[in-house]
Amino acid sequence: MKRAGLELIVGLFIVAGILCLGYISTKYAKMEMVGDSGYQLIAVFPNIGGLKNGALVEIAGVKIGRVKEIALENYRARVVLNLQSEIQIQEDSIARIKTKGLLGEKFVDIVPGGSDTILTKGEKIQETQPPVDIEELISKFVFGKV
Amino acid sequence: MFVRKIIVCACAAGLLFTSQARAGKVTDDLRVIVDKTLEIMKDPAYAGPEKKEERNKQIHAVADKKFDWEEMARRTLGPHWKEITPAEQKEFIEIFKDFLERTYISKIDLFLKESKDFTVKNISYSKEIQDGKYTMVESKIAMHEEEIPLNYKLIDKNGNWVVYDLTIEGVGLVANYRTQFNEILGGSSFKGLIEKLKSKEGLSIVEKKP
Repeated sequence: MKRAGLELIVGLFIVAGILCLGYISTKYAKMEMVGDSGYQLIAVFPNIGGLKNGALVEIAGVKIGRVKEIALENYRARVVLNLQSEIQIQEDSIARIKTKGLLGEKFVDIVPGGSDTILTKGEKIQETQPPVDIEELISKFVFGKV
Repeated sequence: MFVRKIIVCACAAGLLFTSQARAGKVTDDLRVIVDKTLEIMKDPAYAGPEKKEERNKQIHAVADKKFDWEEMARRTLGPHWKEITPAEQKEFIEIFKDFLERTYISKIDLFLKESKDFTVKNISYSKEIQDGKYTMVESKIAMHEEEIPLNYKLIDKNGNWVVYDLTIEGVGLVANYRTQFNEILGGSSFKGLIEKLKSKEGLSIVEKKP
């Protein structure tokens, strides 16, 4: 009886430990545990410059979603953005790929528009801007443009 | 014979369905405007500072048929467009149009002065990509042994395709100015933005009106 009680406590500790591990993994590995909430919009870029699945989507520096999927379509990058359901994106918003810091990770920054038309799930953000190639810019500045 | 007819029809149909990617009617209409504008800018009849106003009027008469300045101006303000009154919106469209004219026409003038052999043949149109009511026309400008990509973004307004944005080497005009205007409006007022645009262009046509 005493042994059964001890085993129960040990078992509970192990379960608690596994749950904590799961929570930490989710938080720091940036994985969603309870499915994809929110809605999806599409953005097509001529070049995504290393943007990855799971990258942040932000407006004014505030996280509003993540990149869900990246695929090649007609030699352009088709990016599916998973956005929080309460966020409204105007039809003339601009999706830009930016870098956190000079050599940091790529993310999608959305610049809001002024249109009365709000995009609904599955629709496309028409205005997109590829990332600025810093190395090319520096090269042109240092060595001059032909 | 019947099989041959089927193959010819299939090829023709295939060309129709792929027309969304190659240059089409939207490009042809745009090309006429661009060529005419360049022709006016190179016309020696309009050379000299005394002919400048007349020449710019001619350019507007042509370009205004294809360039939707109101749409472009509205998009550069983004969400701030709804924060201003209709009278302010109208004022902004005029000031912005003048600003673009004075910023870019002077640059093109300088370029044409230095590249006297530049003609419409230096501009090639490679692709027309249509997506619903939007079309992008991709063009390249050949100069100094390199090609500069210049893309036009058009929107269908009641059957008329009009330009609302331009991208040069991947950088968009609307995106560029929306970011800048957003910063200016964040630290200043709408009047402050208008003054900044006016100051860059000097005396404007709007100011000269009684």
